[in-house]
Amino acid sequence: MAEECRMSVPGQTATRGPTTAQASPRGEASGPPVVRVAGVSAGYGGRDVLRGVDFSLRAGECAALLGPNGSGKTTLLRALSGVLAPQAGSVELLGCPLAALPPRERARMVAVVPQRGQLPQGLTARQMVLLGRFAHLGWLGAYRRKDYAAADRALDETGAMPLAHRRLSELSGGELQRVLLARALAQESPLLLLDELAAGLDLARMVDLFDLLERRRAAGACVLMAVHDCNLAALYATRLMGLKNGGLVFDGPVTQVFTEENLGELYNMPICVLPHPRFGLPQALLASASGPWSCKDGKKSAGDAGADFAPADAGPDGIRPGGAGRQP
Amino acid sequence: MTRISASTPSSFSQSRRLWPVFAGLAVLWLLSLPLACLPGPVPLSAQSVFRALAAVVGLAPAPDDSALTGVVVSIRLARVCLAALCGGALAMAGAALQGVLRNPLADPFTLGISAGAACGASMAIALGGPLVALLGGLPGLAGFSHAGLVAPAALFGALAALFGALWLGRGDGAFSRESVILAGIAVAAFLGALVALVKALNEESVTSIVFWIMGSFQGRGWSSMPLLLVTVVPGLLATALGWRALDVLALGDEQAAQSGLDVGRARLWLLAGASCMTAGCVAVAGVIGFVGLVVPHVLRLLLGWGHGPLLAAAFMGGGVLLVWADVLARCVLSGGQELPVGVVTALLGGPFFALLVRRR
Repeated sequence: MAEECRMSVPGQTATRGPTTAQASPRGEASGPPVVRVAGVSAGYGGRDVLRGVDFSLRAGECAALLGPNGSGKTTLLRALSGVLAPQAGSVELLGCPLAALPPRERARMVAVVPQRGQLPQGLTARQMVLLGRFAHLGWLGAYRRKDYAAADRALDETGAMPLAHRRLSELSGGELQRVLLARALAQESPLLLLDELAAGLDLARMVDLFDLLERRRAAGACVLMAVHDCNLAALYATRLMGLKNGGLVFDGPVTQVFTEENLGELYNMPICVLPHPRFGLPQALLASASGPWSCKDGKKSAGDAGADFAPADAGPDGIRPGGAGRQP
Repeated sequence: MTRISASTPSSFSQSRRLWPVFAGLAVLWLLSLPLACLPGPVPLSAQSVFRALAAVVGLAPAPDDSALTGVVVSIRLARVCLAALCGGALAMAGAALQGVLRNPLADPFTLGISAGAACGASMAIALGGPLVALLGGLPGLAGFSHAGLVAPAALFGALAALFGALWLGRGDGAFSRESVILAGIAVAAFLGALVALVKALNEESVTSIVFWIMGSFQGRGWSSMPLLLVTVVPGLLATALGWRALDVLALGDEQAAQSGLDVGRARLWLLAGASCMTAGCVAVAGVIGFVGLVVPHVLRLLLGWGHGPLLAAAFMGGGVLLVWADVLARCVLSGGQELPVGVVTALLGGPFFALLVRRR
């Protein structure tokens, strides 16, 4: 079963569909690393969340960080953005140790799209995007023409221009994500960290934003995103990293590491991997689930699922033997 | 919030409203300075008051009546200038503190600054007698009086309370807003108890302590100006230069740091600036509440989001409010008696603030 589900590795790029097949094929990353993480351990208080994480990313790479809840994805992004000092190990951005960088220079190297949290009330989308320019402002803190230009470019790119003069409190979840992404783009940093960009977005919005990310990657940005949806990661990332209990359990190109063994170990459950019918890229399906279609004796098959869709303990005329049957 | 945002759906209309609000405030502020010199216990004609004021700025020859000039310039104009500066500084400090602590109810007194000033002043009033006698006996300080001791003592108390709160709130090297608020409350509670202790132990000074704590410009003149300028100008600069940092701090500490702000240092500068201004105002005029709370709230409704316009408008708005509150304080009672201006601002500000809260 596993042999059949697993896709064949060669010929991937040839079968990829038009959506992700951009000018530069995946994996074409070169030059010195944008970010280098060496033996980083970090945590809160006495609790270690990350334990000795090592990797480096180059320009033109889009790495997806997969892992179960609490595996340390957000903590890793916080350590990379400089708001959480690692307890051990080092992070280098473009060759400079992160700890030695003043906040302003750090923000010019790394921009973050945070998980949607508490946001200030009353400011408009454009004001929010302009705040991404803070690291580029002079000591008086006034916006200059190039700051307005960068913010408007970012709003244009994310399709958030029509929202520019709306207040954040009036925006929907998807619109807000676009504004937060626009703010990060306006920061004009070579490294982009994204924490669950897809959370709460409908499919069309999600594809819009990830297509945009792919354009940025093809243009030479370095992207690291924490993602829950591993199928989405397989379509858009050049590289997958599996984070479990604070350590990397796999790290490599999508076609090599997106396997039933790796994903099964990562999420601690059986997973079935199939090639995508259009793009040929690997996609994961749950291999263990007990919905209403599953039989009581545990026998499941695809054919049964549709035909016998009925509650397992339903009576002959479809009425459950419930409280009524127990009445004297 | 919903009703407000529904009535002004976009900031576009707000940015167009910015300049009218600014122009209106500036005109009001400029007009308030001479107009507030008109009323007072001594009846003077408007013409003579304006002539004396014109002489000050060199637009007219000095009038012959030196008593009139004395009343207008050394008493009324001095009070108006002090009130304008104090009100502006208090409102600006309130706006800055509400931004730094991301708490709409923060005002210059959240950090225990007023309690510190009150404590210092109470000590000086109750226990300063021997010190005044000692210093007055020195050859160079023959004119040293009890009143001269109260203002420096209040300033010292305010600054000591501020540094105490900042030191306590300094959790692992950074100033988190929760720890600063908690530290301020702790310091205020302790110093309040100290004031109560002084009052209990020294009953004859209770009246003057109470009167001082309520805040008043009575008897303050140009001699208070140096103390006020020395504290307000640096604080004003520190706060005004941090306007964009205040905008970024509104995102929360983490996003502010990721946007490139040194959160701990920015918060320290802004807190120190706002507190320094407050300390100077309290040292000169006593405790004047509600200016730092009401003025930024009203202006925020008018101006929308953004701390640059807010701080500038708060300086003018606070000045106008306190100048006219002081006019009321010195004119409401007949027979030359004065109300403490802190009572006037609280009487005006309390209901007004309640109205604001209801509207939300």
